[in-house]
Amino acid sequence: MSRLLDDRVFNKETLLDSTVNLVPFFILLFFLVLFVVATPEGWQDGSYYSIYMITMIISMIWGLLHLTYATAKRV
Amino acid sequence: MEEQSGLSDRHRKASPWPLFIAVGLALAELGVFLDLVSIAIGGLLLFVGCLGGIVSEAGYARTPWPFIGGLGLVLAVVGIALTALYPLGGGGALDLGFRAVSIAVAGLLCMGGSLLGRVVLERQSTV
Amino acid sequence: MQIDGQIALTVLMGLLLLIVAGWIARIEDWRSYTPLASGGGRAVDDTAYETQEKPGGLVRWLTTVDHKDIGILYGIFGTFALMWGGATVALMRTELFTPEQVLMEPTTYNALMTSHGITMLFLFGTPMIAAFGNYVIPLLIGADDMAFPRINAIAFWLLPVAGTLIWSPFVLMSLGIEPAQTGWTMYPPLSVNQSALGIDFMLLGLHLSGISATLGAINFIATIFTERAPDVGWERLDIFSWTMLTQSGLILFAFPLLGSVLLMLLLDRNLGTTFFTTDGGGYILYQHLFWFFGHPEVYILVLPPMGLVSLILPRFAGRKLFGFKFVVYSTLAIGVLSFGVWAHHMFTTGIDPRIRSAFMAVSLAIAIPSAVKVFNWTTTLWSGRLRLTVPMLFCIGFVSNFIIGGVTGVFLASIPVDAVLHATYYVVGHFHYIVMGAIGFALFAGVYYWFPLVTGRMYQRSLGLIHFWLSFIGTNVTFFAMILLGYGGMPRRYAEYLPQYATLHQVTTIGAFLIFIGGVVFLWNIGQSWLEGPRVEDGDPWNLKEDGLVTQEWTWFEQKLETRLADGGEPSDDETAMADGGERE
Ligand code: HEM
Ligand SMILES: [Cu+2]
Repeated sequence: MSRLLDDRVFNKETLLDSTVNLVPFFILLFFLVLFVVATPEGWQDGSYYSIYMITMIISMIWGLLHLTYATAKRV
Repeated sequence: MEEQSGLSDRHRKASPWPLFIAVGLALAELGVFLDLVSIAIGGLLLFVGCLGGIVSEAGYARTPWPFIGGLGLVLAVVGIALTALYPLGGGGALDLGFRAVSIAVAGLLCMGGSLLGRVVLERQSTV
Repeated sequence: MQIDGQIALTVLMGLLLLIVAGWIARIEDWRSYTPLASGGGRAVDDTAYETQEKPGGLVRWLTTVDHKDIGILYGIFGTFALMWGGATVALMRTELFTPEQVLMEPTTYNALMTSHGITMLFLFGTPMIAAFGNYVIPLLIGADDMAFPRINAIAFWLLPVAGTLIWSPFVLMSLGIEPAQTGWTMYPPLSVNQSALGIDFMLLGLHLSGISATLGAINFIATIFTERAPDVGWERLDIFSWTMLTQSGLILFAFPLLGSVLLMLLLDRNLGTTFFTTDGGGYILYQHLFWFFGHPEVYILVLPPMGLVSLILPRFAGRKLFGFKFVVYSTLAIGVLSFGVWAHHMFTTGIDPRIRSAFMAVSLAIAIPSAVKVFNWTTTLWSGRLRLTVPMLFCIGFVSNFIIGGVTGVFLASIPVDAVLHATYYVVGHFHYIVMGAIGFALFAGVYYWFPLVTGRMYQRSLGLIHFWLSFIGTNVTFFAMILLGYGGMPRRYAEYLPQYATLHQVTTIGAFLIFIGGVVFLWNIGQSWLEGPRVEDGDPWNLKEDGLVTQEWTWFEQKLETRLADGGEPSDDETAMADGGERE
C-alpha cells in the first residue's frame, strides 16, 4: 500500500479524485461479504449459482479498480 | 498512368461511394434473408463494387479490380460451400432456398466483373 | 404471379445498378488529374479553399465526407426521426385519453408503440448524439476532420436506409406488409412466431443501424486517440470528448452483440433454426443476450448528453465545472459497471435468486457514479453567476429530471421493489424521465448552444423559452403521472385500461400534448431562425471570454468569421447558401 501511495500515479490529488470510485467499490464489497457470510437457506445446494454470483461481483470490483488505476495514470 | 478514381482529387471533401455502399448492403441483406434472388445478387454487386471504388479512391489500392475480385472469391466460396452443405431443395438440415446460390452467383459475377475491368477498362485507359 | 414478381424485381434491380453506374461515371468526370495525396482525411490545408472541394447543390450533400456536413445530416435525420417518434406517441396518447378503445385497434396501438420505442432509441437518440459528436469533436480537439471521413459517410448513409426499412411497413400496409408489434425488446417467442413481414424489415433495419453505430464508434475512438492537436493532451481533453470516448467503447462491446442477436432472430424466423425456441436455446437466453446489449445501450444514450451538460452548464454559471476529474472517473466507472447490471431487467423471469442478488449489488453500486455527476452540476451552480439562457435552462431541467429518473431507477434495482413494479407504468415513468427528461433536454441544450456556431445565426429566445417551459412542465406532468399510475398497478403496453386509471391517464395525455406543442415551437424556431434569424457577427456569442471559458470550437468560429470579413464580398451571396440548409465555408 505504501508503495502505491509514494507512487507518482497515486499522489495525493489523484487519490482524492479517485475516491468517487471507492464508494461503488465499497458497496460491491459490502454485498460480496453479505452474500458470503449471510447466505439464506437453500443457497448451499452445491450448484454453480453461488460461484456465478461471486465471480460476477468480484469481476466488477476488479474492473472498477483496474480502470480507476488506468485513468489515474493518464489524467 | 492515371487510374485513380474518385472525385476527391478535386473535391477532396466528397466521395460518391458511401451512399451506395449503404444502399448496397441494405439490399444485399434484404435479398439474402427474404430469399429474393435478384435483390440479393444486385445488392451484393452494388456493395462489393462500391467497396472496391472507395478502397481505390482512398488510395489503399491502385485500382478497384483486385479487391472486387478477392471479395467476389470469398462470396463465391461461401455460397458454394453453403450450397454443398445444404443442397437446393432442402436436402440438408436447413432449407436455404436460393440464398446460398444467390451469394455464389453474386461472387462469380464479381470475379467476372473484376476480370473484365482489369482487361478492358485498364487497357483502354493506358492507351 | 410469383415468377412475374421475380422478373419485375430483376428488371428494377438491373435498372438501379445501371443508374448508379451511370451516375458515378458522370461524377468521376469531375476529377482533375492531380495525383491523390493521401488516403486518410488528414490533408494539407483545411480552411482556405473548402468551397472548391465539394460539388454544389444536392450532390454535395449526397457525396460529402466533411465532418461538419455529416454532422448536419445526422441532425436532420435525427429531427425527422423525432417527428415520426412524436407522431406515433401522439396517436397512442390520444387513444389512451379514454379507457375504452376509440381510435384504433389494439394491434395498431402495439405497432405504433413498437415503432415509437425503436425510433426514439435507435433512429433519434443515437444519431442525434452522433450529430454533435461529428460536428463538434474534431473542432474541440483541434483535428482537421474525423480519422476516417469516408467511413463516417458510410455510417451516416446506413441510417436513412435503416429508417426506410423500419418505417416502411406503415406505408406498405396495403400491400400486406404488417408492421411489427413486438415492443422494442423483441422478445421471442412472439417475435419469432408472429408472421408479420414488418418484423423482418425491422430486424434488418436495426441490424444496419447497429453497423452504423459501430462504424461511428470506431471513428470516434480513432479520432480522439490519434487526431488530437499536439497541445490537447489527455489531461486537457474536454468532458464531452471523454463521454463520447466512453460511449464509443460501450458501443464497440454492445452493438455487435445486438447485431448477432438480430441475425439469430432472423434465422429463427426465416430458416427454422432453434436459437431461441424452448427446445433450443430458450427465450431466457434471448433476454440475457438482449439485455447484455440493452443496459449498456441506456448508458450509450445517456453518457454523451451528460457530457453536453457538463460542458455547457459551467459556461453559463461563470465558473469551471466543479470536480472535472470526478466526472471523468465516474464516467469511466459507469463504462465498466454498466456491463454487470443487465439482469436487473430480468428479475421477474424466474432466474436463480443468487444471480439476481449479484445484479442487484452491481445495479445499486452503479447508482453512485451516476449520482456523483448530479453533485458536480449542483455545486457548479452553487455560488455561480448564472445566466439563464435557453441552453442553460435546458441543462438545469436536465439535472432536475435526471434526479427523479435516477432515483426511481435505484428503487427498481432492488429485487423486492421490482417484483411489485416490474412491467407497470412506473418503469415507463422511470426511463422516460431519463430518455426524455434528461437525454432529450441535453440534446435540446446542445442544439441551442451551438446553433450560432452551425448556422451563423441566432435563434429566437422567446420561442426558446416557450419551448423550454412547455417541455419542462409537460415532462414532469406526463411522467410523474406515469409513476403514480405504476404505483396504482397500471400495467404497461395496453391500449385499453380499467376506468379507475382514467384521471391519471388523462393527466398524462395532457402533459404529453404540452411536450408536443413545445416540439412544434422548437421546429419552427430552428427552421425559421436558420433561414432568417439575425446574423451572428461576434465570434463569441455567449461572452465566454469574460469568464475565460472559451473552448476550441468557438475559437474556430471566430477565425471563420474573421476570414470571411477579410475576404469581403462573401456575405452578398450567402442568402442562397443558407437556403440550401448549410453554412457557407
Ligand atoms: C442513466 C440512464 C438510464 C436510462 C436511460 C434508463 C433506461 C431504462 C429503460 C429504457 C428501461 C426499461 C426497459 C424496458 O423494460 O423496456 C429501464 C428499466 C430499468 N432501469 Fe433504468 N435507466 C437509467 C438509469 C437507471 C439507473 C441509474 C438504475 C439503477 C441503478 C436503473 C434501473 C433500472 C431497472 C432496475 C429497470 C428494470 C425495471 C423493470 O423492468 O422491472 N436505471 N431503464
Ligand atoms: Cu438497465
